[in-house]
Amino acid sequence: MSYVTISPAYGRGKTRLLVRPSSGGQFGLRVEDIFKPTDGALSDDREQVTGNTLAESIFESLANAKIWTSKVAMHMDMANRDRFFRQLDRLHDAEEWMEGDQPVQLETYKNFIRFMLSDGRDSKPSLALSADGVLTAIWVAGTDRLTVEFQRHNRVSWVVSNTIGPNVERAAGITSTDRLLTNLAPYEPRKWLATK
Amino acid sequence: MEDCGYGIFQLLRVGRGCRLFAKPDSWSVMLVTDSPRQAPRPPYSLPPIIEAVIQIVYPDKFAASRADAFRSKLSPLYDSKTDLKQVTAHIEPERRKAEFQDVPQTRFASNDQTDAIVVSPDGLLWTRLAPYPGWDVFAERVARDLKLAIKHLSIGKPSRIGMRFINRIDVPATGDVVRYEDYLAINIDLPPQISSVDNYGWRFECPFPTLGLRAVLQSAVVEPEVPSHLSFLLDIDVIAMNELPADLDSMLSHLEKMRTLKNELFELSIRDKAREQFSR
Repeated sequence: MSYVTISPAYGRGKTRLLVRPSSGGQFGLRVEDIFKPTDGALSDDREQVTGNTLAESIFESLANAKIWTSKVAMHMDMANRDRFFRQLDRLHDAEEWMEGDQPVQLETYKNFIRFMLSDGRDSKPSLALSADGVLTAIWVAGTDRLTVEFQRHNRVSWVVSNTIGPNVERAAGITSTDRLLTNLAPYEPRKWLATK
Repeated sequence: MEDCGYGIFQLLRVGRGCRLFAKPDSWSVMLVTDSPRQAPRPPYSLPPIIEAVIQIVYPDKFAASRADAFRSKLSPLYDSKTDLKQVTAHIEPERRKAEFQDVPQTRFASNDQTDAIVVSPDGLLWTRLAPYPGWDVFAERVARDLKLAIKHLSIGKPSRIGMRFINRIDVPATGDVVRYEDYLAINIDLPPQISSVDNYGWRFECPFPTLGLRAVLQSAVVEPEVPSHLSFLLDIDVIAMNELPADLDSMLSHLEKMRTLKNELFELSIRDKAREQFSR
């Protein structure tokens, strides 16, 4: 028995991918390709001819976010994907764009989508975009609110506003995305994230 | 002749719990086991295709005015148009020489970026990203655009047709071990002295002379995009370069033939556990 050892990207412990020796395999990697493979949209040897206009810059960021979404689309509900796209389109309306603002940073968008795939389930957050292109998601349940800013490198900042009797309780923190639910546990996060 | 679940084959022999099929005038031999529990069969509800590509290359460049006319006909069919350049480098290390060539291209895409066509000086390339809506939808768009191309570009026979389907199989990383060979039927035969390797990658080419096709299959572990999953690619590229047709109907028939081979190779490359992943 032999196995491939790989480190998963999402820090849930080391996992081994087993490869059983069998008679069916051939090792065929070649340095040169006799036949150039049929390429496609995910090829990385193309670049957009940028005219450096604001509209082109916004379009490129938006398109990159949508193209990346296709890589996880088979794990997403189509209605959820379309809703995120509509919100992204609205957030990137070139006619209402403030000079100096940045379009969405792909890494913060990826962080948000990965959270939704693992813990966000079918919840329906509203999205907002900071001036430097960082994506923020807002969940509301009655008068209670959860706001999470999805930053780069698997980091999140969160703010909770909970109504307890006549009082409003507020809390905030910074953590990694995969520890967000653990941080939010005292505030019953399922009321936001399990909302259908 | 009968349908063995992978297409119409000739039944050669019936064994205990299995049947052996072959396709006359072709390369295919198929061993089908009579499993008490039927694994899902295509079309799958959640196909693992992350990108489907059809590429048609012509021996000569399109006339500039005809290419402009074709692009103007494509514009209303897509939501956006983007000018691209594909950069090709020719490097000769012994002469300390590197030459770069920019090939201008135009990409037309749907608003969600999943449907696109890239028009090059001498070729056309259609792509469909996930979620894959099925062959009929993809082929209908290709046929629509190809009809326009044949009319406005006045093109003859292509020099190459490629059909590439890139699949990514995402396996939930539950527990300590995920058995790779449970999902892919084509494996690397490691000697017992090598008990562990980091990642894997294989690639092979196989000719199908009677079909006039050639296939390149590749697989490798890739960085997972989905949390708590392990991922590996299964990339199937079917290529036609001989005696290619010029008219629309014959081109579409040719694409159908390539698709049949691509599907057979895919089904031969995966196991039932993978099929179950595609049909949750």
